[in-house]
Amino acid sequence: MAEKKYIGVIYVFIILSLVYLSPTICTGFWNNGLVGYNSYNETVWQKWLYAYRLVTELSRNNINVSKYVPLLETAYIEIGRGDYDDANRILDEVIPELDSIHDSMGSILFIRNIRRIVVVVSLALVPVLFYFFFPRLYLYVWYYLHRRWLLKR
Amino acid sequence: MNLLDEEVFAVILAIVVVGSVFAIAMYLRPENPEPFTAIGLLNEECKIGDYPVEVFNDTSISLCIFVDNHLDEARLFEIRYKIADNTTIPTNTTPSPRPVVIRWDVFLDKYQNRTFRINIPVYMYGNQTNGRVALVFELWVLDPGTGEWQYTGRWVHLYVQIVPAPL
Repeated sequence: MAEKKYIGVIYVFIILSLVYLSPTICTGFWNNGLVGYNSYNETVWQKWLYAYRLVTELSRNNINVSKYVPLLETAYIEIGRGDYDDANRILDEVIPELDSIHDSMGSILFIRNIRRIVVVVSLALVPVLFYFFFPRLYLYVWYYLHRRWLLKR
Repeated sequence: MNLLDEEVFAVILAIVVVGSVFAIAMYLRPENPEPFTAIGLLNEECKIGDYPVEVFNDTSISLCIFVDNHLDEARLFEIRYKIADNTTIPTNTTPSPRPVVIRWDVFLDKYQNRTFRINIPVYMYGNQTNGRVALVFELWVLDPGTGEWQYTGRWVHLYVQIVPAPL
């Protein structure tokens, strides 16, 4: 009697376990590797999109990305063909370089802004310098050109 | 003795001030005040004009497509080829409802353009009786933020008369 009771408990445990695990088991059987394949494709696509965002941002900030544009185009075409391995290989080469350029973008923009400020200040100083130095220069040139003149009473 | 007349000096100084302000304005002006994209349709020799007028049904023709990226950034463009009629031509805001027959993708750096040759099928669709179809090429751009294609509002189309193929 006690043994039947134990067996009943074991059956109930097994049934409950199967019910609990059924979604996982079904998913595993149905996809049978497709889950990994899709996530790999998705990963490649997300990597391409990440590289695309980097390239657009860098080019918007006037940083030369002409080297990477054809590479990303090739990677996009490979993804379109379903050749994810080739696309992934290209992206693995391109993304670290783009990341390093993106990391140094702050200092590049800072230097560029400093250069702009220097140019603008220099242009703004031209009238001031002209005001102070042009009369002196004019006098110097005038006296230089008339250095051989003689005064006559 | 006054070697440099004050009025003359004032005039010269005014010219220098105006020149300086103009130079600063030119230096600080936006690099690309009017960003735009463009698409163009060229004939099979990649020149304007001499487009096909009559095409045999279910045949292919060669044309060239010109795409220009005058945006401030590099972008991936897609040209979508559709066969439409005068009721299903795209507008500046909406693409043609007709299905895409072929698409081509080009990644262009800023201020870059490209001309490339295409070979497209031409056929009559639906219950058209007059045999006049519009070969529509729409320009789409991939938005880097959303990762989705957006219609640029730019398109070109070419009306051709489809004639039965000779027996």
